[in-house]
Amino acid sequence: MKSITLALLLLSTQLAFSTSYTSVQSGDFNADATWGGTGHPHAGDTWTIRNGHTVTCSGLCASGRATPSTCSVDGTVSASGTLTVAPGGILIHSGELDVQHSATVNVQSRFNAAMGSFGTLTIAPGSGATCALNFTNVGQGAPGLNLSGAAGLAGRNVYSVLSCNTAMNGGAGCTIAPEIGGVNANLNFHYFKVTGFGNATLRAFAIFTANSVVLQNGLFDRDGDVYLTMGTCGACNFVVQNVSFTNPTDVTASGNHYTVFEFYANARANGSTRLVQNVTAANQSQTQLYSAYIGMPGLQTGESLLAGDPANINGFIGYNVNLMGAGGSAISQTFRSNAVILDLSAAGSGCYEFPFNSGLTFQDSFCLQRTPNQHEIIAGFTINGGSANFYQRYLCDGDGFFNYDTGDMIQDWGAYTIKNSLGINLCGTMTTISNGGSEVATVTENTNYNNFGETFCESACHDGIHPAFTNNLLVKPADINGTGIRGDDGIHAAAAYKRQTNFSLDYNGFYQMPGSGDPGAEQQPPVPALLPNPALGGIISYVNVPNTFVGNQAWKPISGVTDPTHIACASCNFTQAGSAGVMPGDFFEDNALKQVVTVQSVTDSTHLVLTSPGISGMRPAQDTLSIYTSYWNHPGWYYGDSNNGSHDIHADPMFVDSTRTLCSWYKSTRAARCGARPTGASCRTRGRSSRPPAREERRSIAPRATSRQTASPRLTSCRSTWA
Amino acid sequence: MGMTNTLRGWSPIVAVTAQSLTLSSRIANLTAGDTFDFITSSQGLGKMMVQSAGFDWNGNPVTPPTWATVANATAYVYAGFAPQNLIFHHAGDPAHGFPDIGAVPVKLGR
Repeated sequence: MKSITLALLLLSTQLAFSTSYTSVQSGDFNADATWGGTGHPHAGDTWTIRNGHTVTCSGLCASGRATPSTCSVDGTVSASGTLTVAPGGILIHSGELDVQHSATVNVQSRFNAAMGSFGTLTIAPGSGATCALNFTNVGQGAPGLNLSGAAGLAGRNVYSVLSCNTAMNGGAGCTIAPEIGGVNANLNFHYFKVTGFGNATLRAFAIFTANSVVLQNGLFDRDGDVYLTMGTCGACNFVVQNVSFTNPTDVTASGNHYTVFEFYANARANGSTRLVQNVTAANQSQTQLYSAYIGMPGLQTGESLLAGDPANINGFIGYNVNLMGAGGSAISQTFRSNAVILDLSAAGSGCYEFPFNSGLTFQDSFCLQRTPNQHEIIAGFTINGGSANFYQRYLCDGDGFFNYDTGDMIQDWGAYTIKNSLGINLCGTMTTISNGGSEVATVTENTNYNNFGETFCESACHDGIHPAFTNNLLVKPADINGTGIRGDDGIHAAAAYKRQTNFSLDYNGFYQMPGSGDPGAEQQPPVPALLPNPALGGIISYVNVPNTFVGNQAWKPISGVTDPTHIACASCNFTQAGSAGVMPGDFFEDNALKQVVTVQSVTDSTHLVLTSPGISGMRPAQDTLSIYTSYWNHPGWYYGDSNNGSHDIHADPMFVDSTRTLCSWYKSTRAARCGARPTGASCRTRGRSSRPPAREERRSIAPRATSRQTASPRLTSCRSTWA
Repeated sequence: MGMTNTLRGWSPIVAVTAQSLTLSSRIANLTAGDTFDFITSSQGLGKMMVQSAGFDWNGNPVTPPTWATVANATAYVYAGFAPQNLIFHHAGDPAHGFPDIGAVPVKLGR
């Protein structure tokens, strides 16, 4: 109680002796003459820089009353006034700092032969108070905040610092707030650090509408959400280049939560420069995913020679921070040379999330992910006015990680093309096609190796959802339990599948499919086996049987077997109306024998003729049958006929080096371990689920352990995961 | 894809021997027969890649590693997946202009 009383006494004394200063001329902050000759601001004082005056802090400067609970305006840079923190200067201001129209705040640093001369502006709120560097709508013209450092020796640039110090007075936080209405501020940061602004519930930049933004060669560290949006000036620049974001603190300040930054614009640039290049975001949490948002019409992030740019320049690089091309303004954006690396326990995390049908161009980027149920690219919401998305040369590396769900390499609910993309190392299902109306997927010229095959109509579908799966190369699909599941293939259709009127499945290459007998292929086939391709001599292909029952004709007792190609099923109804009716080309399975053949013809509601040679050994009254849909909505079409798969190629591609991964690149380049040592790392454990597996997998999951699902925790098995 | 396992939880590791790990906090319902993974595999790569803008993941200034570019990384991996079997060269759909099959053009002239 005594200490509290003393603190209150000191505070009241400080407030009681607070002096307000107003500049009478330009000059040094600590020069009495600047403020009329009767002293200069100290801690506990307030000040106003009048119109046209430039006040410079060149040493140690202090001001502000540190008002508790509710921050008071203790410093004002009037319209057309200037506050400059010169190289070597430190201004600690314990209160709100208001910057009026056409006023300017400069923080300057300078490189010298020694190590640099740094300028620092610190806001130190009073106890429990949140203080703002506040741009206010007074006067005319755009205000400016300039943080100007300099390049120095390698790794030792000289940064101008804008910081929030909550420890000094027990403050709650700081924010940088825009004016409400009027002309927006210009932000010019070159060699800068912004630290400590915002917090778990407070944005660092509070939905900051800016006139122009140039952020180069700097750092945002321990900040809340940096939310910048371009104002109405289409001719103003937005440049963010060589900027790092580290140790993000936002939890709930943003509507999106756990946000590092948000860059938005409502309209396209009009003669101005808008670019985002070499922006990195690092989040050390291994449990909580953070996000970075970019939604600026027509913006290009990063450059790529392969895409026709003049150079290769990193775009966005995130570690446990994903990239969201989000917001209603995320239209016609281009993302090149981006990398997102996710290495955390947050299930279902995605590397990239975009709107579908947003005119997106996404090229020459990678996702390296090892989270449970990883989703590498998700495009699951729409915006108005966009065109098809285009993904090209997208590398997806799953780092060999499978937890409880294979995840999805790409899932886009609009019209899109994915081309020249590479999925390796258990990255997720190659493409997950699953939308009831808006999706139109063209999948062409991609390679899938040690990865899961495409899931066609995972939970929703429509006729026309997937016009083309062509020119792809599918080799040695991922095996997670040694017995094959749907996904241990090149393409499979899930329970929601609907026959397709226009679906080109041809000109694909494949090798080492389970059960094919190819050297290195799994010996055990999936259940049921992958379809043979009659056009290629019956070799086991990459195509799995669709998992959609026709007209609920599933697990029905076979009542009669005339010969291997003629069966009867007294409880069946093969001639239901519409899509529920069995058509030639659908698949017949003897469930007991786990053998599949196509239906050649439907005799009547209870009799089928199977394609020769049929299935030998069927046992009436013992075996059951199931009928699975054809891929095509054309009676008699089947995989391997003259329309579909007859141009596929079964051959060893003889890859230059299929062991290459992002981790092997890192190791080969740096001669260093890709992962961290176990000590200091986290370990996550899995137990068998009490929930039955999804129907899609029910028939194919065998109850035995595998190399990645071993019977007991063994360090030897884990070493491979951090090598 | 569907689920086959349940995630019981996670915990930082505080000590390691050849046959044991010591966790800093208890994972509820952990039983013999469970399996585990380290959440570290790509940490080294991730820590290095984010230095490209001049700061490490703690916010310390560093000299950006010039080799740590997305272009370098993808070029390395892609080069490994170039087929050398000429059967895939220009074997794609004529409607698409007879492209090479797969993501990476066939490597010619071995």
